[in-house]
Amino acid sequence: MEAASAAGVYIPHLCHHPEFKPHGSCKLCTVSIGGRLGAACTNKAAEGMKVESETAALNADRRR
Amino acid sequence: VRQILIDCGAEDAHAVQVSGPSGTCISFREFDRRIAFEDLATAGAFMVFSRERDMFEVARNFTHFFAHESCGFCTPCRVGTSLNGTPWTSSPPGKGSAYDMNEMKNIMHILRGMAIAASATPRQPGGADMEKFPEAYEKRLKRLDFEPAFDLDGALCRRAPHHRPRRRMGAPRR
Repeated sequence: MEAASAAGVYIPHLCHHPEFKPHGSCKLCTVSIGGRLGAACTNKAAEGMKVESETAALNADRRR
Repeated sequence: VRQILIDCGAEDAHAVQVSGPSGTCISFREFDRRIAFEDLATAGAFMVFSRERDMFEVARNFTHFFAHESCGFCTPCRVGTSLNGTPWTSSPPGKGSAYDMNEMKNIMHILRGMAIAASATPRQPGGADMEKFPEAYEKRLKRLDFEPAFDLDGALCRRAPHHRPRRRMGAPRR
């Protein structure tokens, strides 16, 4: 989440706040990390990591 | 699976829930599947349901179990499991609507993808169950196409027993 924000990419979130420790309970920030779903706030960024956020499927789930 | 059922004398089995409530429910049409990591992975739990059992009631029971057992940490599971219980309790035989079915499918989808314990959450009851035992679900529906969730006639009928007409002025007391 923070790596994305620093790079100017917005990932929708509710429970995350930069001044608090990541909690990972609202799951709104669920992204696809190398094909697997995970919360963007609790997964640490790594070298070469491929993260997808603005996909049609993920956005549909966020609206549900 | 068929071999295990024969070995334990369960000949008229209708469905088998493999690996507990969050595992896989297979119908009698799939008894030739294999217990293996590649097909039906299990730690050994087996629940056998006979033909007399109503698979709708089985799934309803599991749904209540998950709503009760959800630890409540993450929202999709906490809210999803309890939302998923609502249409079941409010759908007496023949009163459910296709809308309820769709809602349940949506919730299942969210639970599968987003909940923190996605591998151990209610995936089956109401999810694949709906596809495997359509007859059990469809007989709970008034109509297979859209039906409003609120049934005005039904609500009025339910009030009737308490609603007695008033005694007319001067009419003899009974």
